[in-house]
Amino acid sequence: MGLTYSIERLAAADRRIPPLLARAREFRARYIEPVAAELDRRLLLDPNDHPDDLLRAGCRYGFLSLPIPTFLGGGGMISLHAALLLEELSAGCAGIANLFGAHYLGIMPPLMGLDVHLLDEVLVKVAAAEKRGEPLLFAAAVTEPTAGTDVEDAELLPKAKLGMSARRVEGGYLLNGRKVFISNGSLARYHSVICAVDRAAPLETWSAFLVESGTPGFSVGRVERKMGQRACPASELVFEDCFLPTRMRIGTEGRAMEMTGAVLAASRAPVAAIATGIARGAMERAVAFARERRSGGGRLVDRPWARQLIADMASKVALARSLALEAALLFDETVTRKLLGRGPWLGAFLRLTGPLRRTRPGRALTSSEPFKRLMVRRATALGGGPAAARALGLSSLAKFSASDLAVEVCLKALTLCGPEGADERLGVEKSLRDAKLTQIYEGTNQLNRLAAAQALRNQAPPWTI
Amino acid sequence: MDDLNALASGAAAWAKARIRPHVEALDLAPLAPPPVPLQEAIAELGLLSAPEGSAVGTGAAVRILRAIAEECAGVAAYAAHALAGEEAARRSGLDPAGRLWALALTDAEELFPTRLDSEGRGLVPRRREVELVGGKLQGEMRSVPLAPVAQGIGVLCSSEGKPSLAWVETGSRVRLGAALGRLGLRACPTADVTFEDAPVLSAAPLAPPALLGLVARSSLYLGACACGAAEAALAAARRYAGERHQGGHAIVGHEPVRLLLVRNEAPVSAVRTALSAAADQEEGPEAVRRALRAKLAVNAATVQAALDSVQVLGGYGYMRDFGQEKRLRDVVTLSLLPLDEARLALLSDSGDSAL
Repeated sequence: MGLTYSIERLAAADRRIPPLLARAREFRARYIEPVAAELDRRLLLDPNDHPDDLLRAGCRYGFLSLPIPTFLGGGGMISLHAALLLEELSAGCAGIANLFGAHYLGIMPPLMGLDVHLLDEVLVKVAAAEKRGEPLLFAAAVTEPTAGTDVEDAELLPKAKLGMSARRVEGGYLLNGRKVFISNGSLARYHSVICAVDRAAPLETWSAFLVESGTPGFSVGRVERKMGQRACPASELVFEDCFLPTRMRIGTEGRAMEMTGAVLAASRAPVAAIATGIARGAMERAVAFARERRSGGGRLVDRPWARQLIADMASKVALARSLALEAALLFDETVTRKLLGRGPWLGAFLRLTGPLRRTRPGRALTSSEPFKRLMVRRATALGGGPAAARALGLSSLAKFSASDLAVEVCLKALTLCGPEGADERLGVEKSLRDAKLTQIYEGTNQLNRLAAAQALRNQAPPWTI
Repeated sequence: MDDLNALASGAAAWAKARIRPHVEALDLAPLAPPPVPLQEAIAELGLLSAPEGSAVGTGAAVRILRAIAEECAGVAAYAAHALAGEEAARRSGLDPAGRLWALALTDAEELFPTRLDSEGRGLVPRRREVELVGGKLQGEMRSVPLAPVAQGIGVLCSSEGKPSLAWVETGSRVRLGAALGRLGLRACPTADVTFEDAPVLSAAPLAPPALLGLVARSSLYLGACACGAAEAALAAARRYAGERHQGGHAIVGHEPVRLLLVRNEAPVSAVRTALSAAADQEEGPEAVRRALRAKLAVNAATVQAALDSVQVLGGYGYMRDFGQEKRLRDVVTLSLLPLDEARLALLSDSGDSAL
């Protein structure tokens, strides 16, 4: 039965997919499976104990530059390819997979915001450093101690209790406040930080900034001790009179909520893929256990009740994958293609003027306010509108569906293994701990349901989401 | 009923004083040594090793365990396993006083007919993990709760093809594996046990009603632990929802959050009542049936409640410092003990005619 039929079709249509999947499978077998359990145990005692070699290995496989456009030296593969990669890695360990997933999320604001200056300044560096084997990670910082769901929704943001702000000063901004639960926060070189310039008018002044580690006034606070996905640290970021020049603002002031919509549309499908991978890994390990375990005079895997469970798990994995890939495909074929593809003038401009842009006058131009405004307008026109709303609706649907399905699959996998399922050595209990986070981050599933319903509610039947 | 409530209150006070300060450290086992000697601490409750005739009844035990589990389900599970082991040892004619007895019930459902032959006779699987031959035990049992700390273990085994319950002392020819890291209930140590011609203290054939009784008793005690943990999770979720503000008001005012709370509070309350009613029932076939069914219902209700209770807390619910994710881990682990939902359902159905 072709559970991966959709992947086979995609692979036949896109020649970048087979080598990507091959690299993902090799990385999982060589770097993830041998260390996942031990790493999970070590990080329980010390959440700071992160191995550097995993990220360096990821450089050799081209994972860090995957979503960076080819004209900047990257792989040029955004939502769909990220989803395929992350599913495979997550089947081994979602925490390790999310090191890359959170990195992709951090890259999205300057990419979706078409901040050409920062693309040239920073993303080029990430791609170049990867070729040298040096991992330069990104993180995205949105959540605040008293504002979680609020900061991801335009309707809730005006009433949010915000603690962080970016006050305008001569030559730039002064950031003050804290962000919490930031994936990759303690490891990242670059942080896409989203906050209000004026806390009294957050929606109108919601803006994004790129903060490099080491910037005076920026520091990493506590690293959380998590239930699962421990390999990807969740950290507090502290800003104390952290000065940023205006050129480090992503796009223009006050446009971050629109950009957030595109960012979430890009990243929620890959999170659905992470959930799919977790579920698949749990199922694989439980079935492997059932093949070895004796029961009823034969193998457990041959017991009729066990086969029912296995079929149920396979069904849910297939459903989760279908939604994840559907959402990722829709995003890439609508938003990505228009924003970064061979569209009118913009695509040609981005591809052909690279060397000119990186001269001093070129940098002055791309960091100027008029140019940033122009690019933001293009980004909104190309990456916004009904197509983007539809992509956000579907990716939100995929995210909450796949994560709920993943938790169900993990519970069934535990049932199949019986009392031994709770033992760490089988690796199935870790899948449940990892799966639970996919129901919470990238917007809780309750928020994602609202987003999906929003996309549907104003459409006349037949509903297409 | 007043006496039962008083016992439960006493247990709750004990848990708050003796266990609450150590919950986080207990949850690091076996990576870190336990901060408090649990066997001694639990002995203070008077739950174990009571003189003949003065042991607490099942109904009281269920309430005590539920109260302890509100602070730490792992400690409650420790007490639950110890109590079930002690009661089974006593029924086998052993003197449990002052000793901790583990009871290995894994694969209990294997002892029942799973299919019928052409003449309608049950086909009993012959192979068991552990066999009793010439008064000695051979084989391996995996994931035995309390094995690392018990002085004796009761083992379901096969003897000449028939199910039996044999008791051994740990130490001589009983090899313990390293304490296992587990999803939850980490305060209750668990290990694999290998029997290498281990001499038994006592052994007797185990008829289906007796086996079901063992599983039912364990199910009641562990179900009580799950109820306590789930109720604590829901209470914490409700408190948080009243304090946390999003969108300009407390999140308890948001319909999705209210639904998450209410949809779980009702079923957990219902299964708690069912479990108490099963525990209060006089011993006999009907009590066994009710206990097994109650545990099945408890599994479903408490796991969903714990999942949703973490969800209400959002990111905070996922972090160890807030205690909510531990309750989820504990409840899910309890749903697999003494048997998981599928095996317990098959066992309760297979055994129904045997009662």
